[in-house]
Amino acid sequence: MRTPIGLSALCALLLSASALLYADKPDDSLANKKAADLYNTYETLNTPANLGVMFVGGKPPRFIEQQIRILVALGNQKTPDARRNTIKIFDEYMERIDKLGANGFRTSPLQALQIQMVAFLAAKVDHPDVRTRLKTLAESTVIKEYARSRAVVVLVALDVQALNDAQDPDGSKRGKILLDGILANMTFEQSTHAPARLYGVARLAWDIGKHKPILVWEVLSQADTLPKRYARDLAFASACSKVIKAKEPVTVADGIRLREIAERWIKEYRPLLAKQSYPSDVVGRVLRYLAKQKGNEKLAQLMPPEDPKPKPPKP
Amino acid sequence: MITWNTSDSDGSVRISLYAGKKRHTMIANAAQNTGSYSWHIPKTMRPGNDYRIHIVSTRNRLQRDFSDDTFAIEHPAIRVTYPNTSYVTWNRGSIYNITWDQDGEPGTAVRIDLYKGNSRKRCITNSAPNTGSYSWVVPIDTGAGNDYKIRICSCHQPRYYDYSDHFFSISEELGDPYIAVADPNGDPTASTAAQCGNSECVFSDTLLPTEGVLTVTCRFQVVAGRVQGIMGKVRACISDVGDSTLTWQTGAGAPSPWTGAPDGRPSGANTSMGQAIYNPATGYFEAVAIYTGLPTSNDAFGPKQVWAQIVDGSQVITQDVQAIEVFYSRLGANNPAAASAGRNWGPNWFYYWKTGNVCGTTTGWEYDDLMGALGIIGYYVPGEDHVNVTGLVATLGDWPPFNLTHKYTSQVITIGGADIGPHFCAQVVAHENLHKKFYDDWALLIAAAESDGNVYNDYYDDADDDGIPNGEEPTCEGIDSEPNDPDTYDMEGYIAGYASYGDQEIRCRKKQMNPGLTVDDSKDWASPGTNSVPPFVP
Repeated sequence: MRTPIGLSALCALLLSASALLYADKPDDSLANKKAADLYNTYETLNTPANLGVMFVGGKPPRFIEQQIRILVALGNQKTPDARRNTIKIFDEYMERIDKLGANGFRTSPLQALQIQMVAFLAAKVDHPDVRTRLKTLAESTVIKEYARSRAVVVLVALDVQALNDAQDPDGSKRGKILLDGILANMTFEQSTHAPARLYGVARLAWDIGKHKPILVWEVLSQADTLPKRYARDLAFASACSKVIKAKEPVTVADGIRLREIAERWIKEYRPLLAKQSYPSDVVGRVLRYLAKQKGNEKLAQLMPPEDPKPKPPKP
Repeated sequence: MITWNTSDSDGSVRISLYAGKKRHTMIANAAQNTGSYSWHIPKTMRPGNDYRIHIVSTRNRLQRDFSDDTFAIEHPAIRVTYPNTSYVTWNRGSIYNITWDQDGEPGTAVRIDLYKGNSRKRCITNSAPNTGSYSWVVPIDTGAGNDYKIRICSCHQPRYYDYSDHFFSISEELGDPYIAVADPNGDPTASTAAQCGNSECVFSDTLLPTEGVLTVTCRFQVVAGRVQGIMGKVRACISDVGDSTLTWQTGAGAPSPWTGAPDGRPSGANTSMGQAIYNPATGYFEAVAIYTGLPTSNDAFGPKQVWAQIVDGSQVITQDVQAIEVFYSRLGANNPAAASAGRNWGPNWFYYWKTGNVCGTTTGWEYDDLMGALGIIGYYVPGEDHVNVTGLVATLGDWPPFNLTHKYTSQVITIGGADIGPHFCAQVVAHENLHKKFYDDWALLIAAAESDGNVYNDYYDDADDDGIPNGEEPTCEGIDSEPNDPDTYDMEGYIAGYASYGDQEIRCRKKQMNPGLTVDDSKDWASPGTNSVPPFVP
């Protein structure tokens, strides 16, 4: 089983975004460069020709890969100078993409830096100036949802970290922070197009709930809206899946709750999801996976046949 | 030597061998009662440790005695097996294989002598490897006779020795001519370097970029036998190696082409043949084949042959053949295209693996080592018509597959893994080609679909920017991923750098497990490589 992720681990995970190496070889040549030199090298790559390349997603252009390596190297430096250059790079990045606007950004290679920017800032998020930048990113109307989601999770994780078990014995206060902070006022449709937020809730609740599905469920007991309930159901089902992966038994009570979630998914979520275009139905996905596991035959009996896979439009 | 005390030297004694209490063998029925008798223990004698000698006077049976104690008879550690009968006749000037068996540990070397009667006639070898056989040419000046024996003795433990059981003959006749390739030697297809000998030959990579030189030193063991004037009649032939230019030299570096009639040139041999010259220092006839210029085609490498011939006029009297294998230097960069192509053709492995279709494809992949210095093995630049591999392809690999976990379901999938050599190269090419295919197939469709400003509702929208359209995410390459998460399986958590397109990367990594390119191991003639001994190991 993967080690549960706490705040520091989450930051480390985000920080580890690195060069697009086919092999896992670190670029030692950048490690000892001064922050200002790294900035200059990074900025030198932002030529009009490079920035003018059309990029709609996937494997980034080579200069972006180089920039990512520089961001990683700079992220590893903990000096004030490194922080100043971090902020400088981010501010200039935001300035560029704001100029591009949402339409221009959709075909710009700068898209490929979105998640890396989150990791880049997360590495120094303990400083208020950097935290402000991360909030800026999270609220940007140009940055894509999948990257904003990650930024929000990092910020909310900081708030959760401010409370400990003594201050919040059953985790419900932290659970409320999670649900309110990550999902805020999202609609159900918005949340199912933001699986990173749902994943953030599930992962942090798993930690707070001490890796027990029943405690995860209680941590998120204040889920009072449809997207929050959906997030709680995901967190619980996902916790059960982790338990099974660790070859531990799912309790009878947990099994009953899983079936309750399945019924809710069938009656409540699924009809809504059917009306959406390409949502991430992560609750349905976990339930279907669990239904295939030994011991979950009752759950399997509840699950309807899989929907047909989408077909490409006729030209 | 059996010895005893006697006072009746005029009489005779009967000497017997006892095993335990039973008489085993009559050694001598009436030996001179001189006090000693030389007995050659037959090789058929059963080994034992309860033997005694019994000696009795034939005149006075009361004069008798046994050995005071028992003694042992052991099998000799060395036993001559050829020549070992009286039916053997050798011709002068011919080559024969002296053979022997051995037990125990007589050591790694033996001395072999030729005996005539009871006298040593000549030393055949002071020290030969104790392999059980030794080839010897009977010198022409050896006298004829029918009382020759061979004696073989351990160099390390002289008590281990044996003679031929019977005399054999050497006749006046001159024998058949004989020729054998002494170098190169070994079996190039064997699995150990010792077994391969020096039969694996590699073009150099140390000269000018467009050159490569392969030197094959040929040494022949020659017995003239009845052939007169042997010095000008020993010819060396060797296979073609593509369009590489072949010349011949003596061991000392002087040109040494064959100037006699070309008749009898073996099929498959280069038209250029060499005159092998006798080298008194080594006792061999020698000729050195020199190929200049790495061949254009990968097919030129591989199994070849060296022929040694005794040629009289236009007739090949006798010949021997030795198999060799020809390789190129894997990491050298002196392939024919290096200079003429006007661009970076990369190292030899790249040139031959690509042009020789070793990795299952001859197009769509290029070499670039600038990125290799950054630790990148392969890459694709969006929009280009090819993918790239770097020098790391030829030096890394042999990685096991690894597991990734679906972030939401905890389902585990297995991807990745890499073999070595051409297989690894094919895996990298297939990996990068899939990145290219994704770009070629979908980049424009995604751009068109997203031009309406909504990235969520069209089949070809790509909400998570992983390069895989929303509608393709559930089925693409047999992997189900989320359309709104670019890294559904947390590739980033396993190898940093893939957070923004992990869902595309895992498909390319999975492609490595079944790249769909047919690698032909039999065509990899890089050294070290698939067919070299030892083979390449990262």
